[in-house]
Amino acid sequence: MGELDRSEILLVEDTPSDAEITLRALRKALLTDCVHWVRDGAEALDYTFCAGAYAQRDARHVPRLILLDLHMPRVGGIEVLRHLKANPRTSAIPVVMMTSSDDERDIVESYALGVNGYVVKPVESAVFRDTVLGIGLFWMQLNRVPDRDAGGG
Amino acid sequence: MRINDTWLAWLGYAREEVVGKLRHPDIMTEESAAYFRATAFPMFKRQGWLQDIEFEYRRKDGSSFHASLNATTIRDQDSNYLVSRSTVNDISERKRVEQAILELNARLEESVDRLKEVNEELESFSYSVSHDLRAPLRAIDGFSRMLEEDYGERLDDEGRRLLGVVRDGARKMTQLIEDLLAFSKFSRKALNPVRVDMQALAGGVAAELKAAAPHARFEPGRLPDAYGDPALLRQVWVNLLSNAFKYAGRREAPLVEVGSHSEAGEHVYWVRDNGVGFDPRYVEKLFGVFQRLHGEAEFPGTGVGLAIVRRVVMRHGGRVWAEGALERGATFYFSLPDGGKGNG
Repeated sequence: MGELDRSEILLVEDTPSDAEITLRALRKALLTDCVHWVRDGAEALDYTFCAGAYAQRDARHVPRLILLDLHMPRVGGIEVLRHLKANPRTSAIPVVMMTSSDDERDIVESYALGVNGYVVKPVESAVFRDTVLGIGLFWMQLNRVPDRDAGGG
Repeated sequence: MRINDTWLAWLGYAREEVVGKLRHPDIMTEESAAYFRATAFPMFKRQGWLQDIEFEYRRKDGSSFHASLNATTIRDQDSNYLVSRSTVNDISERKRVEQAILELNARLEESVDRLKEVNEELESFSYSVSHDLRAPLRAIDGFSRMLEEDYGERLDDEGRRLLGVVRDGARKMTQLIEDLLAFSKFSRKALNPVRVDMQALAGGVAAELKAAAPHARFEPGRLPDAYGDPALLRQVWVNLLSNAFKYAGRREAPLVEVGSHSEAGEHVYWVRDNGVGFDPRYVEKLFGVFQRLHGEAEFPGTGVGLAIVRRVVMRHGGRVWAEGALERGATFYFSLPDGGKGNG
């Protein structure tokens, strides 16, 4: 089992500084390095569906949480969300939008597609860190999802 | 066809060129002549008169002018047609003015459209700029925090002070951007007007603010219902009342009052405090974006609150204004059109 297969959180974020702050907060909160960071929606889909650069990844292993940015180059967050929720293999993965956009239309559209949470990134770093911390603790420690890998891996 | 001298002078013909040679439609433009033959003349034959029909006449030199025609039939004792008498008034000047007004109106409408467009562009520009500024700002604040956390012990006092200045600057800029975004949001948000209980709205907001300022006194006057967007009007009360509590806060007995009066189709609401007031020379600046009459250290804020108030009230078709004097308190007024269908 490679390091890629163990990633429990998929972070989809095109701004490197935001990604670094998020990764750091998640590592501190969850005491884990099992976060995989991809830089846009196309890479996120490749990772989740084991395509392209991720063709060798073990398809039985799906992330337990996807943190998804909205506005990204190539394939945006809405399109990624649509693919994830349309596929029975990935539809149960909790997806939380983490975005700078508080545009009502983005929020409405995300929920229409079945998003599990929508968080507007706070600008102030302390609040941002606490926000990431809260998301990590809730979705990774309190929340239960159907156990797809039971006996499988 | 017989003709008088004035008429000849207008047309630029000599009498002998006209009399017995030209018929009425011959001295009109083609379009007017066609209308004369097809419509006006048959009408004249039928009813015996014409009143204020506009034609375009052609002068001998080819230029044209607008005139209005009145014509009556003159008959003999046995009601037989003798002759028709026509009088023509030059209405070129009126036509020219009418045309000028039409053109001016069209230009004005064009300017209004352009202005609207520019305004919308500006708002969406300020929205996206402040939006895009958030990510680098988060980086400044976040990474200086990391520096503090990971390397703080290796910095001396001066190093930590410098880092503190960076983070302080980032915090202020964050506040500015958040406020600018709020301003833009209140400018863009669609209006959903309903009947709004201003008494309850202002009272609720004041109660929240008073909880944080227990020594302040709040005097609610009677406020008539308004017709407007409840979320936006709530923001008007939040901004005006929080200002009032803020600026009265240092008084021994801070007092905030609200009240209203109605005049000429509008309700005027006001918020008064007995706080530090302002220099009336700068009253025009009060409602501008990022305009402040007090130092940041003295009273915190970025100066967007009243700009939001003005924008929201203007979008409701009302006005805002203020009265005050240094150290003598301030009163902020806003008016809303009396859309009160019913008991207002």
